[in-house]
Amino acid sequence: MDKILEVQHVWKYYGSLLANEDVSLYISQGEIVGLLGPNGAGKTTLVKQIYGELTPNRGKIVVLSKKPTDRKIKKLMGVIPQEVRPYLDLTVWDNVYYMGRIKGMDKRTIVEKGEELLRKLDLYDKRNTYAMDLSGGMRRKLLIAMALINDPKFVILDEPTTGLDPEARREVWDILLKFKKEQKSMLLTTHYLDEAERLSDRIYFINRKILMEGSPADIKKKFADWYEIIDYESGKIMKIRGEDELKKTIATLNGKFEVRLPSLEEVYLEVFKNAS
Amino acid sequence: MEFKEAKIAIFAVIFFSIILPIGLLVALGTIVSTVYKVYLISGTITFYMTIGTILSIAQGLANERESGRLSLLLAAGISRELYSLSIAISNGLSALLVTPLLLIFGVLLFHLKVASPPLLIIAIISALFMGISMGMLIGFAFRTPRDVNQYSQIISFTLSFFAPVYFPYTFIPLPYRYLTLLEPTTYASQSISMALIGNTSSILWSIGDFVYGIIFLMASSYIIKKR
Repeated sequence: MDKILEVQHVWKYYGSLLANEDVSLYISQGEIVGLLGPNGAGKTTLVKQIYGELTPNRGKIVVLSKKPTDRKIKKLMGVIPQEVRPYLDLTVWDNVYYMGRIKGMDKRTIVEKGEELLRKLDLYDKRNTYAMDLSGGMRRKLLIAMALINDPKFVILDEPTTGLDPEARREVWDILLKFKKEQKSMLLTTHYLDEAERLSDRIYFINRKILMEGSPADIKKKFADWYEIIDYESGKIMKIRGEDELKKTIATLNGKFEVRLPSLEEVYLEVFKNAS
Repeated sequence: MEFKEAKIAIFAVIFFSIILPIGLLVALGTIVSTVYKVYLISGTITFYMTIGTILSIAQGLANERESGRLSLLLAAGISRELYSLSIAISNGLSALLVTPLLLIFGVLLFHLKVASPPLLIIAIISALFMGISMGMLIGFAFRTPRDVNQYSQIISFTLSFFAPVYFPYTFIPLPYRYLTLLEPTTYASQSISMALIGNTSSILWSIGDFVYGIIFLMASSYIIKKR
């Protein structure tokens, strides 16, 4: 599969503070890759290097076969930086339109693509509304429209649902899954485990350096050396290691019970506990 | 986008471009003797061209950084310098508008004659360049918008009223006069006042402005790379 992004042994310092330590990762065509880590783990620093706002002290980043600072590459990318606000004193349409112009699109294409995007994102009826009058969820949708106006090959979303209510978060997820079907490659940073699990094909756990990589299922499997049994009859919760022990325990149970593998959240906590 | 947003500030632009300069000139004009009224005009132009630009760019950049929009536009392929310039022009509309107005007021109120328009244009461009570069430096040098707001105000007002902006450079006794050469607004004001009276030394002061502008740009670039 074609590599959309390759990060090779990247080191980034802020003065004496090490933000990224020998980070390597890749994204293939059509993949959504999640970058998971606690606050201050160096996710945003890495993302800023990928879209060319910062440059690595050491290592190499290749985006769509070019350097991240290459202006032509930026026209093929869509980026939503962390905690960004659209232009609040401009209408929804103006925000989308001018972003298209900045990305070098002609007026006719912007109108065609912009209207299609606003319809997909349920923003068409709000196209003449000022961005300041939109809810948090709507603003996030507007930023998604701004990022996708140029029909990018590669989309970077730095914590796209932070601060949104559960309903708005789910709406954003649905939109991203819709675009995934269009074979768009995406890099998603988040500290929401459910979001990463739901959206990502592969996940990188990062805390300054990459701690673990794999699909959500693979990661869970790797750490699934124990099972949790909830016995609904007695109300007991048991942690069991190994399949043989699990079978023995289940054989002793009467009535309803539930067996589950550790959640991604539990894996995450274990990985970061071990790392620290 | 910056230009489109600028129209929202139209009332502020009208106030700062027309009403405030008339007030300044009328008030200060009553206490300044005729021979020095040219410095009143050059000082007020300097005040608008450099201080207005420094403040608007530094604070505009800090706000754009805070709101994440600088990242948004950098990611879209716009360079920091170009974006700073768009902020400078959109936020500094009043500074750009006010220069011809101040000259017109000078002609009407003080019977001013612009002796060398070409030198004046060079002086204004160099003052603007220095103001943009300094605004960028302040906007990128400090981490938070609050820091940028405080320091840009302190720096710009210090450079306005602790430098020979409203009076001739030669008023400062030696050896303190040399200290004023460290203040970039000295160059802006002197180049404009010399151009108004047709003294070719204006070009030397303009070169000083350009040199300062380049130093500030290099310092901004260094800070950005260090981040």
